[in-house]
Amino acid sequence: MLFLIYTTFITSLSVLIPITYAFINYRNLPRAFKIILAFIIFSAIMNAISNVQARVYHLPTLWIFHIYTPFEFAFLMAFFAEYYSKGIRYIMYGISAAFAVFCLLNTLFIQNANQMDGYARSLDAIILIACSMLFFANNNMDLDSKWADNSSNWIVAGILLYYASSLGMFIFFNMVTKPGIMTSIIWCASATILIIEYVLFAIGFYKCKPQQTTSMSR
Amino acid sequence: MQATTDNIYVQMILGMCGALILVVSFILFSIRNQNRLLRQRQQFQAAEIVHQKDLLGAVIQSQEAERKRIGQDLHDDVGTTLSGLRLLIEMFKPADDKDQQYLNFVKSSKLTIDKIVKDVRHISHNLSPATLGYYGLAAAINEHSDIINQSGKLTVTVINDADAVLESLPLANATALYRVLEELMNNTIKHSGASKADIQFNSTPGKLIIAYKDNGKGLSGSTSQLKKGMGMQNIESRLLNINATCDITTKPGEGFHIQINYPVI
Repeated sequence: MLFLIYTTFITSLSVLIPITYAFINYRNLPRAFKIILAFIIFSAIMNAISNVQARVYHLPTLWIFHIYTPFEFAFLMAFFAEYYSKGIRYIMYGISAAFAVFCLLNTLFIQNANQMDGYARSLDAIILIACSMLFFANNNMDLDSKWADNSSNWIVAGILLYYASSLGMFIFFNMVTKPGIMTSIIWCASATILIIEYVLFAIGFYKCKPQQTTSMSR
Repeated sequence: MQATTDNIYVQMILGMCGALILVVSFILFSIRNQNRLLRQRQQFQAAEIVHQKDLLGAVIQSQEAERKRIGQDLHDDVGTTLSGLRLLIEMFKPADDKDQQYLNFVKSSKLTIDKIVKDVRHISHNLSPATLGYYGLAAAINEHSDIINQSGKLTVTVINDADAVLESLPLANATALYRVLEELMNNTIKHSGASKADIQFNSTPGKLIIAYKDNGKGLSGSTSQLKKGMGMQNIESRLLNINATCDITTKPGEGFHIQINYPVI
């Protein structure tokens, strides 16, 4: 019961923390942060659909992950693309499109809608981890402000923390659909990491100042 | 089979925890590294500012030494020669000493020489006020304001409530403050159209406060815009060199007010 309350309600409602901060500070949000806000709202809607489907209608929800993954990837790549020059930005958009095709092929031929899209989510996580590391590698040279004063750092820290910690779970995604105490522990851990990600996003939105986003390679 | 599955779950949890620790450590190291670099750059910048201040101090010092030398030369050489010339004209006895043309010549020559002597004295005083070295900042400012008051262009009132602090000022710092006040009075005469200016010296523990205000036409624009002017930049650099700060308040039609805060050690 406690597990149900935690993963269904507390985790789902924690999405309101970054959304609230984003709307309070909306005037100062650059484009990259508005993309993250759109991603959070999209996640919240998909999560709500999944919860209603599972808890109210007792219907399977695994197909939702197949739709969610390419959109999640596209949103986060669009966020990272904002920090690069036009050329690199188009390459990143191209990677997003290619990943969407991969997700579709994965769903059609490898992991159907009745299974978790473990391969797609694992690849998604690996690419996003690489993007986060690249961001920090480039941003480490920025000596205009303290690490904590740069709002983008908080957002990327949230992304890195979530996807790096969840990668293990994504690799064995289909195993965590089986009911059991161990599965519940893993889902609780994943939900906790998601809440931490949202808190880091909220700090990022809170710390956002006008004209904060600057290109690193322009 | 069940044991194998459980084993995978445990491995997954361990993997998640391991990755979490790795990421947190990476971020913390990243923060520490960036903050260390930032601190190093700040230290470098601080050292550069100190160096710039030293250079500025040396420039101002040599400028003051040069002014003093020129002032003394003017006062001692030119002033003495002119006095000699005046004496010479006075001593000259023509064949007819009742000649009106001669009398007019002597009178106008003496008047001209007196004017030149007076001007040389003013220039010499402006270049290097001897009073500052002998009697301190308050006396030098009083002397300078007396000269301005005599001109009738402006009435300067000096109120000194910080006698003890002013007496203990090092000569270099007193000279810097004197130059700043001199520049302010010049600005008031040249640009403000003011009839009155007030200078007030006050002291609080560890601080000398100099308030200068005039009743002129004031200035428009922000403080940063005002500080771009050559005169204000001179004031700023002189104050920076003695670790003093200033706050300017001015509006069109409401006069000009500046408060100088000088830290007393």
